[in-house]
Amino acid sequence: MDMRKLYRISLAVALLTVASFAKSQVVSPVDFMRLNPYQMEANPAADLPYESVMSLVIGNIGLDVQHSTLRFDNLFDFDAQGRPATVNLRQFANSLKEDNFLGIHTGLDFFTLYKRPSYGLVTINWGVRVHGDARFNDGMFKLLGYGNGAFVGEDNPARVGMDCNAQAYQELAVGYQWNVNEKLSLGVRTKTLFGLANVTTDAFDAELYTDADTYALRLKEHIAMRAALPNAVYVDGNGELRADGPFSVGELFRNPGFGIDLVAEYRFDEHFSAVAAVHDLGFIHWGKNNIALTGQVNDAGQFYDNGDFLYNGLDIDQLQLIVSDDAYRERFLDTLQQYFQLEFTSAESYNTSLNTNLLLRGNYDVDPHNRFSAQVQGCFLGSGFRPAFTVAYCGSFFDNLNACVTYTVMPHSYDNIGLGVSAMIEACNIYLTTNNLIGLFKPMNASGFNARVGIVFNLFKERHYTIDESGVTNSTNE
Amino acid sequence: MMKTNRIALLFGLLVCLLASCKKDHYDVTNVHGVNAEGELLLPLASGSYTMMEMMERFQIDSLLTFTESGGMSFAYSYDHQGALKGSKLLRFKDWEYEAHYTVETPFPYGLPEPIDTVLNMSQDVVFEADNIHVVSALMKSGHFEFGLTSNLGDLGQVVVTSPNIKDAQGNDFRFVYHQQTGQTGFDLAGLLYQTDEPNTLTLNYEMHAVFDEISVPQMEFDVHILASDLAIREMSGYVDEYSSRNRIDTTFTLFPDNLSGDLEINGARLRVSERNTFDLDACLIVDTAWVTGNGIAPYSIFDPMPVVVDLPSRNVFGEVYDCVLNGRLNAAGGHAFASSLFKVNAEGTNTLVTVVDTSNIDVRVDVDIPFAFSIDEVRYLDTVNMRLSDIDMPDMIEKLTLELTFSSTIPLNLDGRFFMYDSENEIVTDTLLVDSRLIRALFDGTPSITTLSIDITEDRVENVMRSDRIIMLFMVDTDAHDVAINVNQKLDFSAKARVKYKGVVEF
Repeated sequence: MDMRKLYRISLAVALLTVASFAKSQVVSPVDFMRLNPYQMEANPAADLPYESVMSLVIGNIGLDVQHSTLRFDNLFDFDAQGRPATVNLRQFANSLKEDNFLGIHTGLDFFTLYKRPSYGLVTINWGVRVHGDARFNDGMFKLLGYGNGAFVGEDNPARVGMDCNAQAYQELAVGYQWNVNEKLSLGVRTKTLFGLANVTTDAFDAELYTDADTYALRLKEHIAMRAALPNAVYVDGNGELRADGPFSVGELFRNPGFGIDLVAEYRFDEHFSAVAAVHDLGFIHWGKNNIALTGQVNDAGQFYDNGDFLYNGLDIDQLQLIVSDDAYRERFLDTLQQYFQLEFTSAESYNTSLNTNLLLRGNYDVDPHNRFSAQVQGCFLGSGFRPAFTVAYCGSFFDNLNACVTYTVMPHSYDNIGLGVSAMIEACNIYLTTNNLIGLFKPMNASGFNARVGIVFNLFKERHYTIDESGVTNSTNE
Repeated sequence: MMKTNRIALLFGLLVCLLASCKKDHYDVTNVHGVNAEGELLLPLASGSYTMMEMMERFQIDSLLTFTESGGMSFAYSYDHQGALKGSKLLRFKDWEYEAHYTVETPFPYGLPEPIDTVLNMSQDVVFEADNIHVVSALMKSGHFEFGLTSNLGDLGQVVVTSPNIKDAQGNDFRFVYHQQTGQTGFDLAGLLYQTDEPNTLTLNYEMHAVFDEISVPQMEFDVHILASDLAIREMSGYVDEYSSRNRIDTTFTLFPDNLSGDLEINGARLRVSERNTFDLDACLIVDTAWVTGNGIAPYSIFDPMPVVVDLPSRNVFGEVYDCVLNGRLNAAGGHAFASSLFKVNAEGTNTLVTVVDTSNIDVRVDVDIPFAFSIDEVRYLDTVNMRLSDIDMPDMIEKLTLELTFSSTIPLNLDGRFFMYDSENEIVTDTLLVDSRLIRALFDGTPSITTLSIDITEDRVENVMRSDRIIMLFMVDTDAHDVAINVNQKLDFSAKARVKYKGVVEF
């Protein structure tokens, strides 16, 4: 069998296989835009057609919100004027899946500099990143929307589960792109990180059982979270959490971390190429201002049962006091709260991993100006592994206009039609992209919102990027 | 430059497109609440009460006795210590004795010289007693006050002696009386009385006198004796029939006051125990005994009357009477009255006996009213205060269903009525239960399970919330069955709520 064909088949199989389980966090048309310098975030092995690129602050501004099932129209009842009037819990609960996802990612580059020395391309980025993701089930909302009457029996508890992880950090990335030969390019980017804030959920689960005969309520609860904040957070003598500790600029450079991106791009011929990448392989060490939040049923008296809260009714005397004695009733309710008190404590230092991202992409270049791509991407989030499959078309027009159309499928998210446009206006490369056009027009009723804009400056002349008849890619200075 | 303009135009169009989305649709400033609908299932209260625990709650457990098999009885004891007392029997009446003696003067009128002479006199006195004839006795108390006057003037000293009274050493009693300055009385306590003629006492007087002259032909003497507080510690002698009447007049309680109605009692038992420490047989004659209660006319406990019970002599209690009684009692209790006569030596036997002042007839009457009865209808009324008006209840409860479950092995039917009462306006705001059968007993030893649902609609919830009392009326009956209640019989009770809510919780 022709090796090239074998490679193509292998690539296709690999794409399909990974697509079945791989996940993606943020897929942006920028990643596929061959004239956009920030494509190197997804593919640090890409050979940019520029000698040098620089930007301050406005180079890369992005906001991405992804969710599986949250729809504005499902959350509200609307009045005659079409304005939301009330929150409809049941309708909202019905719209949720058993497993729901919400992710928020935003980033801002303060400084960008790409410079091509005599050999390869050096990239420097400094910016701030915020990644937050949460996975939650529909238990809480269905419990509120239906009451515990919908959750009766030993095998039908109301399960409330949540996994929330978020971190914000500064990133100083230094990368190097290297064309090993005509077919193979490698890219590596090392990242020095400074953690700013973090929330990590180790457990956030509760189960409410309602006995079918007695209606006895049994609640199991387990909450364990850790957090680190920029300023000193401490637990005072009363066990209350206080966040009024001193803050200094130096706090922004605590919590060191390290990350690395590794990418290889292989060009089979003038039409086919493939990219394999791993991004954000690294960690952040949170060593300062850490707190832990734990919650479990406390032994506060008669309703404590082997680690659970078990309410199976009052005895007659208690009931009589509760309906007749205000003071007793107040004390009783205070006592109930004691079963569920959360405890804040100072936490030891801990590490969190970055949201490591795996990527496989296949490109088919119809000609030097038109490319079709297919990509599978998966991201290890704190709350799980989230896959995405993307097909993209990217074309160059008028030598200075670059347009890209993408379609991405993610779990419970199928309406992600993306569009990206970048243009070279004199030395300015302006770009504007979204991976969800519907989200731009109906941001609250789409499965996500994504926008990324920026202006970068090409300090030197553009390189011409051509593929000759033998399939070899050539680049020359203009 | 043309190309640049086209591109700028394209970007401008794109920005306009993005800005054209409808904004009112996402204006959340008008959102004013949460629309919620669902159903809550809540346990409200539960309890499991054995009959024993119920009796404790009624605070009547101290009135009860229990058998090993778990049977219960109301137990009442009436102790009468000293129904007939020896100390009352062993007494002589106070008596006063006066005697006048005239003696011819044995001396000539003109005495050549003063003479010193002794005059002797003797007399018998009789102690008065109703039922005893004392041959010998150890005196517990008694006082003699002695007086002597004469037409001879000062007689000097008078020595009084008696062969019937002896001190602890066996010496005859001797008392020296000085008419002017001497002792005039003496105590008998601790002295021994002995006589051949029961209740008789012989006193001898020995008067020592010195006369310068005697101017009267006859010597006149007046003797005055006052005997008081004559009580015997122990006697030997004869006792006539002796009796004492006693009465029992008492009220008794069964269940608390807020229980009303009649119980048809079957198999109540009355036992009489006695301790008769007299050296004599005795008997008890009950000639009146009746019981009554609220709404129950007095009826005789015994039939026929009178009841005669022998009380043999013994030093420990022994049961002398045991009978089964049937009758009707008010659940709250009643009033019992009995009048009886205790008799000693009812046969009038004339034998020498010994009686001490601690001899008694003590009687204990035990009445056991077992929890075995039939009930037409007994009512229990209770009022529970409540105060829910301050609770801010969401105005979205569509329907509240109270689900009551009773599981009972107690052989009693139970009906209930619950009234919600607003005391300020003096109105019944709602009736939760109307003659609802809470327990339908099976009377065959198997448990009965009753479930009951009470639907309270939205407007009635408000009525309940503004009430400040729950008046509970329970009616108990045995459906013409004779039932026996056991401490282990049990009532399990649970109250649950099913709350359907629908509405808007305003922010």
